Amino acid sequence: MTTNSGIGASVLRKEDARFITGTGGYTDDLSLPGQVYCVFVRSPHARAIIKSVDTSDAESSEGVLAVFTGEDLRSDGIGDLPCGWMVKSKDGSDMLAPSHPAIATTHVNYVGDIYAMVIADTIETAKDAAELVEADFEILTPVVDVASATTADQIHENVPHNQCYDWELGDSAATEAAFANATHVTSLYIVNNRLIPNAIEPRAALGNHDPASGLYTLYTTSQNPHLERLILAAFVNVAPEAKLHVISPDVGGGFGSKIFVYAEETAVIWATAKVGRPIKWRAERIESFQADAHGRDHVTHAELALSGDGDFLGLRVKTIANMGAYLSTFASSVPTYLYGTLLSGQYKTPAIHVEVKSVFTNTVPVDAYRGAGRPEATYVVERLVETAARELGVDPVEIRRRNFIQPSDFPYETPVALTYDTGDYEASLARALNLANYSEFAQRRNESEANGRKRGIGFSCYIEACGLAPSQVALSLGAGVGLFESAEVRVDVTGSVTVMTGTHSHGQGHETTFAQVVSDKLGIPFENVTVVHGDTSKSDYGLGTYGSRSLAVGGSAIATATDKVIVKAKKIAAHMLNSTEERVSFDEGIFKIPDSNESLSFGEVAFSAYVPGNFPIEELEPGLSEKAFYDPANFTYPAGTHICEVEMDPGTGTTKIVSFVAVDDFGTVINPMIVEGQVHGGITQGIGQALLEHGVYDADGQLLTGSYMDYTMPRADDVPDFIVDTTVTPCTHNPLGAKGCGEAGAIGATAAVMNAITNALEVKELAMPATAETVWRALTGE
Amino acid sequence: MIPATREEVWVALRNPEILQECIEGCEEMTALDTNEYEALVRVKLGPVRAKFRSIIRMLNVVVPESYTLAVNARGGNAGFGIGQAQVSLIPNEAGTTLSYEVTGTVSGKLAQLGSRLFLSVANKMASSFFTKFCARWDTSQLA
Repeated sequence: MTTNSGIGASVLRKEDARFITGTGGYTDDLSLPGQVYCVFVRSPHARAIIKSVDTSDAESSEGVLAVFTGEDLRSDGIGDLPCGWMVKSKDGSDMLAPSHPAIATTHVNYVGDIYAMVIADTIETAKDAAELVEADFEILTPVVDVASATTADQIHENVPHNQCYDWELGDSAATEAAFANATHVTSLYIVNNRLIPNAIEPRAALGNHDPASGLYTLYTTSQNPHLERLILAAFVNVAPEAKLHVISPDVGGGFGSKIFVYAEETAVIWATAKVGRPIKWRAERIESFQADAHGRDHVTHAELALSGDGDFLGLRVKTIANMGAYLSTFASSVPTYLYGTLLSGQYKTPAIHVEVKSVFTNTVPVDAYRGAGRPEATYVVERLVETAARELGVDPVEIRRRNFIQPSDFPYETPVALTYDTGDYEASLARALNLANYSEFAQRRNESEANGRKRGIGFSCYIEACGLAPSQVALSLGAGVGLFESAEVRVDVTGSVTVMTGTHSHGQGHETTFAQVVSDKLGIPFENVTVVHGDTSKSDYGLGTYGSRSLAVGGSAIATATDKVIVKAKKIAAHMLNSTEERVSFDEGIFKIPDSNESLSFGEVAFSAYVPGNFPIEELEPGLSEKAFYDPANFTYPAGTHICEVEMDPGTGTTKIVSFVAVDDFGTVINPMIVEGQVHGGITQGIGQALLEHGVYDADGQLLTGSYMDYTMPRADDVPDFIVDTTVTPCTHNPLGAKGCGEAGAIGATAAVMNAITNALEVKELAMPATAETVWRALTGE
Repeated sequence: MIPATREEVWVALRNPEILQECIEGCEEMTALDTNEYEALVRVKLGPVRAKFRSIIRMLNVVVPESYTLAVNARGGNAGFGIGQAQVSLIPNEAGTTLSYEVTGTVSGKLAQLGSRLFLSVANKMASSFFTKFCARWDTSQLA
């Protein structure tokens, strides 16, 4: 149905009223009676043996309730923080996972690793007492450099060569043969720079234990509260699952960094029963830098084999991925199943072989960050394709067209384990070329040159795999959890609807988008639908929000549950209309039977469901509330074309993005305004990686970019007015036809920007971030 | 330039009371051994303020010509500082010329926020020390 609030309408976001008036309820806004505060004592060394920790002075300070070390947790049976995805090496052996205690016991392995926690009646008292915790460290030489980590000192006793796994995907022999037959080989050495997530709201936790019921309640900044509960209960052993209630209230941005189960909330929820008081912890920004999982950090050698005409024959990729000091919750999957599987891009490359070594270093753990593996894959493929076109003297657009998977090829099985269901890559490319006015680029370049400026254009035809994920596929590849999603659509007596979802919104606008889906399907006012998320006691087990899955998987669960409501409501309507279920039609909120002017509104049927006067109760239960668990049949494959145009000042090396066009195919779009916002944010993060952001450690393993003085986030004046459009090939296997839009901007943009910059500078390779200094040095050779 | 003999300067440089007086922010100074002192010093490094419990060792001692001052400073939650100062005393007609060179590294929060500021702060502290040290001499010894 077409309304101003149904599917396809740019409805203003329900949640924005509270966000922009400062009335949202974030974890740190919450307080419980008798609450005390926690400060973590963190290692100043990148690698050291803990010889002793003396907590006596801190413990005897006035106002201090307790000081705990790693031994206290260990002796109380608290387990290590687990990694949820088992990746196997080429030789079939399991990946090597070092012990990861929430509070370090024998060694500290990165600057920021926790070795004690102080709990006191005020935050100031806790901070002062933290200064009194005395640790005696034996400082060891840290391993910092990714590329040489396998030959450096061994960090963990059970991980020789600091290597987590040596993984491969694809057909090695076929790829070798393709290279043997190639006329031309393009090769690139690529460093995918380390990024630090920087959500606006820092991580926080508020724990409480009720001794009467034995119930633990944890309020925390999690993208997936059910998973947090499962891991803390089943793996870390904090409490039985039924005695642990996890709530993620309003959360101010995640970008992946709030998927993971961290040491801080683990220690907080454990300690709350020990001290018998609610405990609050909120990260200071400096702690976010040194303790939130970082992103990317790959070193790659990539080669593309081509025929003389520019046909792609084979792709060979060797990557070393940094895991940091320990395995974060999903770290192992990011440079493997979310990276290697995407190396086919939008192209019919017949043979692909990728090898990935993951290594440990004495740095903050690295895990998923917006895009998670797919930006790294897109960067490899799209930088290679653009470079190959330049080397062969072919138009970068034509070389892509020549190798595109065509609409008639779907379903298309790639050489790297995925089956793309649908797409039309030419359609998004053609639309983007038009919007970017590509045909007149040469003229614009001449004008720039006449003004003493360098101008360049760059393309990125990305693809990603979203809608994580078909449980069967994920489990067979080593995932520790199924990846379906749950929903409950509960119709209230008066016909309003409450929707419970296992996904979590931390900026995405689910309260609006999901309400549009339900309102559209039930033909009831948008305002009558309330979406509830982020509370393990309210919704059934769900897997949360990441991998652009919430609409494609969570939304599909909601759509399925809504369909079940309609089926039940038709039965009730049939009874009320003295007809049969088969004869009842439902459209735009009205139940009708043919050849009759009798009809019922949705509200009337809902009321009758709960006031079941003369129901045939053997056949028809009262009530109108349905649940669904939706497990997707396949990933979804959003894809599109990004075109970036840059202009540079050769005198200063400053790069200005003069135009950025993104044409994306997200399948069915529920709310175009929200989708556009997601694309804007994603592109900005992609531009941030290309031009500004870089997490840097010195040789001693000290984080040099540990504050906004040294780590540059993109700001409004770093980005242009984006030109954003969509093309649509609906997903073939979910009820909404939706593919997911949360990460696409960050996946596609980085390669487009760097292709534009290298085009302007006429250089083959340039390290990210392309700061003014980097560009100026490339131009002047200094 | 200090208007005193090299031997007099040497003795003063090893007197904990004089050291405490001349080190900015120094709250305590105790001699642990002939060549080892413990000090409690408050330092501000950019946005980080910390109280350092420092062990100061004199190494490579060549009486009364030169020594290396090795400072191991624990700043609690703020981090860790390791510094060295190479100090030499050269006699001349007017007294003694004191020269020094400072190197060092910081870790933890200090490095995260202040690594770029560290050497300049260390140099400033050293310069303040020697200025006070020389000034002290002018009044008490020569007046």
